[in-house]
Amino acid sequence: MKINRIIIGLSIVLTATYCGVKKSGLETPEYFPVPHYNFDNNPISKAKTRLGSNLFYDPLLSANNTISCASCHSPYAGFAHTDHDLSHGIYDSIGTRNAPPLFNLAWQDRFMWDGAIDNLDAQALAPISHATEMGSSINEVVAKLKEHKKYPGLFLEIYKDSLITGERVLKVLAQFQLSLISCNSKYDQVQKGAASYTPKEISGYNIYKSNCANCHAEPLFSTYGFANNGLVLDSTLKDIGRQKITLNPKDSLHFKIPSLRNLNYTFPYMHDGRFKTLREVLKHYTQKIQNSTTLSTELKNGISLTKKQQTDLISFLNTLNDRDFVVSQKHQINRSFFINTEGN
Amino acid sequence: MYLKTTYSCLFFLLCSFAVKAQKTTTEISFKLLFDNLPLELAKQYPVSEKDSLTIDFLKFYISDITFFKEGTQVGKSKEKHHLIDAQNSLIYKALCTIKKEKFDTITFLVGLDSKTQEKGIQGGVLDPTSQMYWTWQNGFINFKLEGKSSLCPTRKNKFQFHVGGFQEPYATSQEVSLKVKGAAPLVIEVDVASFFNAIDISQTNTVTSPNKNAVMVSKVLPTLFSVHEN
Repeated sequence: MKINRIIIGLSIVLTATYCGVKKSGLETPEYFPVPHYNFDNNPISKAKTRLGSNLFYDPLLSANNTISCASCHSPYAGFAHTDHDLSHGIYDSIGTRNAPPLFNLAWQDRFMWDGAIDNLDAQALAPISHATEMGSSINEVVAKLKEHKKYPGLFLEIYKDSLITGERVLKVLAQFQLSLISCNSKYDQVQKGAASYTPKEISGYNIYKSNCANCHAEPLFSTYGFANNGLVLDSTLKDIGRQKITLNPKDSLHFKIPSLRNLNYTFPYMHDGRFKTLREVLKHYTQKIQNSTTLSTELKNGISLTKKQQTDLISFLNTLNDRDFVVSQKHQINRSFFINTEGN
Repeated sequence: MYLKTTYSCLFFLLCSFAVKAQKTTTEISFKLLFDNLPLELAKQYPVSEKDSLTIDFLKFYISDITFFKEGTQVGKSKEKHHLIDAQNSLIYKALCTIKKEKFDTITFLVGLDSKTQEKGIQGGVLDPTSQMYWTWQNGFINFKLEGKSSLCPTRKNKFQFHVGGFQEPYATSQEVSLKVKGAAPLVIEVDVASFFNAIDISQTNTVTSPNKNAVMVSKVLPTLFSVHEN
């Protein structure tokens, strides 16, 4: 009798835990931590995610209907802006930073290289409004959507009224971005027991664990904290990073720690895209660290790696490239939606 | 047994009616003024013999309007958040529910509480189309005042106060507590001239991010509010 009760109790707890994981509505591997995003404020639905995808790929979001979110966050580049050190936006203007990749966003608590925004729902306001990105405003976007041939119908389907508000636009955009989950790299296959590392990759994994893992922690390959990784200040940009937001000198030259996932697709690297290759990045960490009072403690004594160790480390980093993620059809533009919407 | 249950149900029903009967709905108005007269946007207000100022934009949040009688809460506004916009109307009315007719204190927040701020994107008066959510960082602007003055050594003599920030050390929402005689409906006057009496716009004219100046300016805001009772 007592055992029965224990079993019933346990199954209730287990079901509750299972539901807790499922509550997010995101399909994630068991070894991923609990997401940071508050899904109660924006419960995930397939229809909203689809609508968010249409908005993400729609240049209507920019002042002159030429720039979409995907212009700087391309699926083939892990939703980053490949091959440009500084991303460019409307009227060929050049920004001041390299557009970061978009994946595993539910586990991040601050966005932008300087962490200016701590709420994914609010993040899109920045590029929509920025003069060198989309040069528009949420009011202008809402007004255009209201006049559009297709959007009012989609909002009606989802919300049971055709009211288009800033809140709804931003939240469906967030839903699409939350759906961008990268968890099918070779590393993930190994975690799931479906693949195994080569000896070179194992050596690289060990080098990673003793030199990189403090900041680029598994399984997301970042703590998503902020750190000064010893880059020399670019005299043309004079970007002091997080200090600009917190006004705290301790945050001088601190930038958001990026994930090591999908590096193959997201070059160039660093907040200002100054390094084109991983070799250059490793050269920085092993030879060019600039000492300063705010330098990350992990880098105070420098990192010393032989050429062979660097090669092994790169082999391991290559196991973090998730090809399925970048080619997945479910994240791509829904072409049928954009047919016959010209002129809007 | 059934009779007992029926009686107790009836008793509770009567009690709830009794409680309800004590509640009344009243209105509280916020009236925008400049020097005791209705505020006029784009009007040139003289500030000295040779200098003047004009106000082009005034929009701010008021939250948690609460009524007290001898320290006990006796009522509050129906809506938690209120957005007062000079372009819409010079008089903003908030519906409130109070338990008793008499109250001696009214309190509210100029701006939004940190819980609302942390929640981020929301609807209604908090919708980002209200143009009160920052785009380059997170958080709502609590109080937005823009205009021009010959006193400002800025481009096109503009002054811009986007007062916001909810994280220490730069938290900027301010509580206002006003003693009242207790007769509803109540008119709260918001005299914008007090802002310029307290802030020297030849020195402080551009505040657009959470910082020391934003906190300094926010501390002036409660002085704009006073009660007008007949």
